[in-house]
Amino acid sequence: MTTLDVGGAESISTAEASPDDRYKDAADKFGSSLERLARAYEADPEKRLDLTQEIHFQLWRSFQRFDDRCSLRTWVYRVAHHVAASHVLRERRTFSTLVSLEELETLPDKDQGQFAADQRMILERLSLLIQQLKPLDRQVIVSYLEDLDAVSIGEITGLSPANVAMRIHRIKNILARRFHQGGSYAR
Amino acid sequence: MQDDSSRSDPRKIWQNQPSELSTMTLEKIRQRARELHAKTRRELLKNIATPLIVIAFAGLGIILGDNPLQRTAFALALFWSLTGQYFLNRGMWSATLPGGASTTGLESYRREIERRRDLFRRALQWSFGPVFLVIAALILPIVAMGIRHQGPLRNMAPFLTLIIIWLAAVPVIRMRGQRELQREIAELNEIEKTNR
Repeated sequence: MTTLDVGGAESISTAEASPDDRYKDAADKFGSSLERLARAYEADPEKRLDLTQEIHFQLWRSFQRFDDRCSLRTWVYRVAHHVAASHVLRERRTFSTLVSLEELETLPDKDQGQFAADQRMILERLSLLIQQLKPLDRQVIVSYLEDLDAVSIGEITGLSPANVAMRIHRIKNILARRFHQGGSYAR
Repeated sequence: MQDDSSRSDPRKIWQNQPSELSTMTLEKIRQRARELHAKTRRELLKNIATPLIVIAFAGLGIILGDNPLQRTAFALALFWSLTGQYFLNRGMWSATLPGGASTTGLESYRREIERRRDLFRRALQWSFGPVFLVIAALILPIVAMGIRHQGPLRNMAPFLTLIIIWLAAVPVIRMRGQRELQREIAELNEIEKTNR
């Protein structure tokens, strides 16, 4: 887990908080989420660590300009997704291997028939599935997996509520089909 | 104890995934800032390496060449490369945080793609263009001489073929990349349209 070594950090009132304090607060609250987000964008562990550090660095820089016009959570996720999407664009020489949620819904599941009993295996398959997606759809699926509601996802991505709802519906279908044989989570 | 549905719920599994321990301190972040500064300097040096080579070759060609047409081509490549430095580096170093945090994912992603598309286009026009001209100015007289005296051309044929393949492949690959980025922009336009 990427944590910030701040020793007893408390929530900081944004009015008098310095950028460093704001960063510490954000890293404390969202450090684990940022690490998971990096996993959605980079499969290679070494590059992933580098990406996580880059996200933290850009987050720290971004607090010079934080103006309280959106919530801290929205700000943190926006910065993190911007950095991660840039990373995908830099690393990928071609887009043709990335797919949209719509395309993913129609693609056959390569692991069909193999029931992923192990949680680690499910996580691996889930990460692989996310890493196939185009950056904008990755933002939606990661936010969904982090339990963010449609309004928050819309604020982060800039997609309309209807658009977010449609994508979440697709995500639920894909996840239900690929990970949950006959269960109840995909409500 | 967890029930079966929560154990196989991807959301729960995603949120409870094991972490890869690494501690980020403010000192590490400041070190990262210093690294970024050094990286920017390295990028700048890398970016001026190609034009420097072009300028060196073109300069030598102007001084040593005896064919007026060839010397004109070298002079043009020299001017092209120098002008290109302005257009290639214009605004390149001002882009710090990708997209800026006050923009949404959609806006930021679109800006990043547009920036890359423009960079591709500018690199082809202002960096590859002069290289192409210098190489053409260098090899065309050799080919012309080879046509008159068959021997040297036959010896140089593999080398010339490789150069011609490279000259043809670079713009094709670059343009294909540019088209892919353009398609991605069109897709984002479509998403924005449905957003309204």
